Amino acid sequence: MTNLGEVSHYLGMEMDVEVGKQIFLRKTVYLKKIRERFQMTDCKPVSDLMNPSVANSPLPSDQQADWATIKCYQSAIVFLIWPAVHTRPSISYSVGVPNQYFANPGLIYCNLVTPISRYLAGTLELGITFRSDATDELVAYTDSDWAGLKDGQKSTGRYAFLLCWGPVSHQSKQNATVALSSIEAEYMATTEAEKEAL
Amino acid sequence: MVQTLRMLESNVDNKRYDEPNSLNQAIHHTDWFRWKDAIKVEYDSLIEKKTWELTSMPENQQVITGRWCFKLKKDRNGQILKYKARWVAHGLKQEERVDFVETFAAVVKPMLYKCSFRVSVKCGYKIRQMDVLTAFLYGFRMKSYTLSNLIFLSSTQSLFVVYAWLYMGWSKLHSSDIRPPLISLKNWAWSALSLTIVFLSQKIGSFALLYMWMTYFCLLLTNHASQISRTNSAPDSKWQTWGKYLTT
Repeated sequence: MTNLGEVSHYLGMEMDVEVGKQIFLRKTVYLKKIRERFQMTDCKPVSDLMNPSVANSPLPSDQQADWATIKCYQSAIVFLIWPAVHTRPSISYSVGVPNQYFANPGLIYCNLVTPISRYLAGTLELGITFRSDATDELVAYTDSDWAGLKDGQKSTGRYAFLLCWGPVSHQSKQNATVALSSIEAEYMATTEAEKEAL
Repeated sequence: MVQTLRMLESNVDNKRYDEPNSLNQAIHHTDWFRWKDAIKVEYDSLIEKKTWELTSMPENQQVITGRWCFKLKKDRNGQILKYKARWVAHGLKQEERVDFVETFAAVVKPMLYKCSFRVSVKCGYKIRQMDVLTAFLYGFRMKSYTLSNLIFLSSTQSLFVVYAWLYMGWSKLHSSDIRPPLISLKNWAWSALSLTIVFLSQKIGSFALLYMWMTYFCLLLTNHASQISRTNSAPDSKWQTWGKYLTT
């Protein structure tokens, strides 16, 4: 067993530690690597994660993507899930939406992946921070849309738990059943969060 | 967009070959001497921990082969820190419901490490990393496993496959058909074959190889002897209790 000294990277994340003050987690090297791999090193950053008109339109059955496109789409999503789970809660919804059409995306859903990569290209250095001067309480937020995706009419609920201003647990998940009202969708999201809290 | 995705796919095929995929690739790699050291570290570690013993081949048993895995460990800037090699068993040779009933994959949950980071921030702790060379999970083995072993010769860069048999005989000890693992004709045939391969690869006449081979063979013989004595002299107590426990 060997001592490797103070931690500087952990599980593919870079850690900037100021003892007693703050810990900053980010995935800059990983994001740069996948940007190289997908030949997007000189892409223009955008500020919008999703194109609302694309996300709100139902899946047209006649526009079937070909095999090569589907494969690329799938590999791109797989690379984006990891930062979404660990250091970038903000993209978890926009990764989750194309992920629901993982096996059979129409052409329209393939278009949802590139904006995420371009958004990440502009925000490589962002991550999550734990600060010692924050409150000591566990803070939880939940929210839900109502029939956000036109395909299936199901709602998507999400929650985030914060400790020391850093999100320790977050999720964005489509509900299993159709909500009849927006308040019902909100209740569903709250239930998911309470389950996590327990 | 579709065009971009096509470009992406062509790029996926051009993988970087920093990490060799097999032992053969590693031998032809420019950093072969580093990979060789890594293999030696792993091999010595397995020997030191006494992870396996040589036995004869049980009948009607599938041999699980293995391979070497190579991995580069890099620091946060992408600079190479360490060359790692690991010997892994071919799990795909097992069949579900025949060789195993359930599987388990250890996955880290983000909440776990994030909460511990938060604790360290609040209390002002320093975080240090450590490295365990060879880690094992302790558990009860319900079944005997037979693995093929790959002996590796460092001096000559030649290699030959010797089928050595790892035989955890717990589950068999309680059953009535205990067969002391004598050296059968089949084993002799295998040994002769391996010997031929060694001599062919070295164009006959390397004394070092011959010496190593003889040492290995003596080891094989002594192991057989110890196996026989153990099965004969321990008819009661520990081993039978184990057998009962494992059958229930």
